[in-house]
Amino acid sequence: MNNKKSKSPWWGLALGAAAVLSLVPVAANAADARIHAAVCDGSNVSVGTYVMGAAFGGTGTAICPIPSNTALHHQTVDTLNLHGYNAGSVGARACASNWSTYQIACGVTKSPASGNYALSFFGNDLVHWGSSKAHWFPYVAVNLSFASRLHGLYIAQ
Amino acid sequence: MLRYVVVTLLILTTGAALWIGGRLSSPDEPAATVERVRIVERPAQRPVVESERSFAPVWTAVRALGARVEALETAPAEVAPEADPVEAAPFDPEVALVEAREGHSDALHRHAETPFEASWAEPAAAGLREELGRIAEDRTFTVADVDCRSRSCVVTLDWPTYEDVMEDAGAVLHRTTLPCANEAFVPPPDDPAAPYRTEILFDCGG
Repeated sequence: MNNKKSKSPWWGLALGAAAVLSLVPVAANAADARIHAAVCDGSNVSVGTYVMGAAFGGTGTAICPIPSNTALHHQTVDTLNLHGYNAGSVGARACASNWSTYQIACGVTKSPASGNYALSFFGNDLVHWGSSKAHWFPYVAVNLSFASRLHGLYIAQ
Repeated sequence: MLRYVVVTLLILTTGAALWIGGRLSSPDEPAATVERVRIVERPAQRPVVESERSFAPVWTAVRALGARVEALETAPAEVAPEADPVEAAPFDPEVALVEAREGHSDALHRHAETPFEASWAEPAAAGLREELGRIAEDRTFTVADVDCRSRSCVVTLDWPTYEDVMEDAGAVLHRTTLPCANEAFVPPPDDPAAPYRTEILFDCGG
């Protein structure tokens, strides 16, 4: 019986931990994702550790695909943040392209102040990621002046 | 045949391990298996003979292992993933094309029905013309018309061929800075080499 007594504290600790964990509120079933800018492609941009506008005196455009799946479908996304550096001008918009035919739709363009930026999209900025375009393929179009950068994107529901 | 060999080996190995474990365990440091045996030694319960103490847990473990092997062998090789309810919807490209055409047509019709509001429409049209002209400098399209009303504009653009539209239409939607959502519908023509006209909607009502 001494053996049983010597093991009891461990069982007690385990039961106590289970009881405490059962009382901890479960976090909301939200999902988010961070997307590295290296997934982007486009014209007059260089893609590497980040995307940079490469058109001297002009504007490059990066097209960044947005992952959309059952865990985080684009029609449930209510926040989009872009992170980078504005060396002259940066403009971005949330777009989607039709799954079967050449049809593109984009939301309103938004621009950050100069320097490091965190540009947020929400509400009507994401109008074309709504339920009416659930079958479409979402992406973000980012216009970058020379030396302006996009480091990555963040989406959340 | 292989299954029986595996099961037999598992039985022998488990039995030997449990038997050796039971023999080597001291009363001060009982193994988990020994602890289960000790539970049946409580005075209130039936005394357990030595043979039962040694082999009951062994047979329990053996039966569990057998069931586990059986379950693994009978399990399907692959389980098909559940279909995404959105993607599972029936797809018909022809139907989708008709719907897209109707949707775009309806949007253009709604724009045409809105009243003309000069204070908004004129500067908006001038800004769009200036911007489209700048984008067109290194593209192939020409601006045929810019029609702005009270909170929306429709831009009519002409391209030399359909292939040119495919290359440039994205730039028009992505690079204009008028604070509007925009939408282009560019269905394939009968003659891909013929000149192509497109109407792009700018919805600034948001």
